Amino acid sequence: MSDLKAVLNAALDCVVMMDHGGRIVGINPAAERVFGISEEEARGREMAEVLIPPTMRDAHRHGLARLLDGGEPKILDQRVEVTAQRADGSLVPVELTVTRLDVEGPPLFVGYLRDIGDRIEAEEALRRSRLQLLRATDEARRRLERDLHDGAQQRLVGLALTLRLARAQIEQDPSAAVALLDEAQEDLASATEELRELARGLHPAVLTDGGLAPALRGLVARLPLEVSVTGVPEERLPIDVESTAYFVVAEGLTNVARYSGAQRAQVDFARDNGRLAIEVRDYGRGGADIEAGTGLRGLAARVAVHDGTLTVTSPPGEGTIVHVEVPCAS
Amino acid sequence: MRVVIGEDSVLLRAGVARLLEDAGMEVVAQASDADDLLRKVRAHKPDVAVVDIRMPPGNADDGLRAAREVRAELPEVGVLVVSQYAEEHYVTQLLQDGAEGVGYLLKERIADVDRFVDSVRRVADGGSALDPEIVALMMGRREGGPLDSLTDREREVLGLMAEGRTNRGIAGELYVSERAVERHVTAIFGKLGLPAGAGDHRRVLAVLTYLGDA
Repeated sequence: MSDLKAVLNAALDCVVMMDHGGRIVGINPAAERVFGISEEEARGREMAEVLIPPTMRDAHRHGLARLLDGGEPKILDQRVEVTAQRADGSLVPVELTVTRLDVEGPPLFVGYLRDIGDRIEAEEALRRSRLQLLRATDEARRRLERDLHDGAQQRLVGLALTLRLARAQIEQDPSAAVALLDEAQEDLASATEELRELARGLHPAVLTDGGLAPALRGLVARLPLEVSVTGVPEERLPIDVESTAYFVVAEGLTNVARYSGAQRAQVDFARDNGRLAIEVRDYGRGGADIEAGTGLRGLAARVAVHDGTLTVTSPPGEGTIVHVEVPCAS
Repeated sequence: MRVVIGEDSVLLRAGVARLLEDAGMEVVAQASDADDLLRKVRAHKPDVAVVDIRMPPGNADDGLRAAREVRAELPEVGVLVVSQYAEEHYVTQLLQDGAEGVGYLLKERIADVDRFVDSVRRVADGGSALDPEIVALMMGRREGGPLDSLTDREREVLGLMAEGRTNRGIAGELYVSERAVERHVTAIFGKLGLPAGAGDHRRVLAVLTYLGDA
């Protein structure tokens, strides 16, 4: 018997024993911890009062009464997810199994409960992260649509008009037609350049061909900022890690150029303990809010997919630090 | 002048072939992937190969890698890479074994036919042709250094040197005499601390090494 007691004491799951009157006979230390009540306090009290939220107590009592009347057991020997109540009245999601002990005399019931709060929280975080990723993807598509529509598409429409005008002029006024054709060629060059840069913004080919270091050189050269970059891994990393790292820096620096008022930025990489840390820092006006812009939110969703973390520190007047860490085996 | 073209887009390949032939060059072979290109360059040993950076079989930077192979194997064959990427990285890779007989231009430059033909000729003759946009990116990255001590005109001359233009070419572009260009070049090399006296072909690498070394 003392062996069994020791097993109950050591169990990670909560064990609650109840008599046929619905009163608590005993609980193990795990149950004491989870529900915030000692075995001494619990013993002899109605289980429904102690562990079940008020709205569900009657259902429990009816179920027990029906069972004792010889009714079909509804819950015995199954695993169910229910909500239990702690001594302080707070609720805790649990997985519950109830069995009937094979003993002489009046029946005894044992409930095994496992706190699944962490699991449910993790599931919710996963759902949230998926949803954010979906939103970020949609937002990126909308942005792409706008860029194409306002940029290259407009230019091409303009180009079609210019060509039409040139054609109309070609006989009466050849020199005007030539001027229009020159104009058309310039428009075409601008459209080509816009498309090239748009494609680079979507995913620079050099990132795939050459890795993080050359892709960041190309990025920094395009920005109207003085950027100092340190610690970029020279070796190739998993391609998804490279992409995330690249877009963290791209988004971070774009924000610096757009909102911070700073002329300079600092980008630091560090690899440590199988993690890659990336920090983008400026000494501009601060006050950045991760919830305010779609860019940072999308980035956070992307980082979350890697089981990474993204934090933004941005006290007003003191600049902004975007710090990201993602797992990255060496 | 004999040319081999490597380009997987049929339309573009035919277009390039035609404009080079119109300019009096002889297109001796056309290839649609990197392997085919290497085969044909080895067989024909042309004066210059015009190579698309992105080609089958890998559809990544296969053209660039083929171009480097040509450089290593047949140094007398000039290689002009045409690309949709304004990236220093590819240029750095291409120039690893020297800048003589090498070029890297954005694809849209093909539309500027006279200049494009001029670049093909320059590369075939052992000179260089580097896209002005990439030169601008490289120069932009050097802001705040000794480059700031150059006058606007000297910066223009430096950029054109980096593109691989000869003194005569630069003089024509800026509407000044060759003597004036020479004076600018001397001033630039002095201010940047570069060794003077290199000819048109060889100074490109000095300038690009300086610009790329940041």
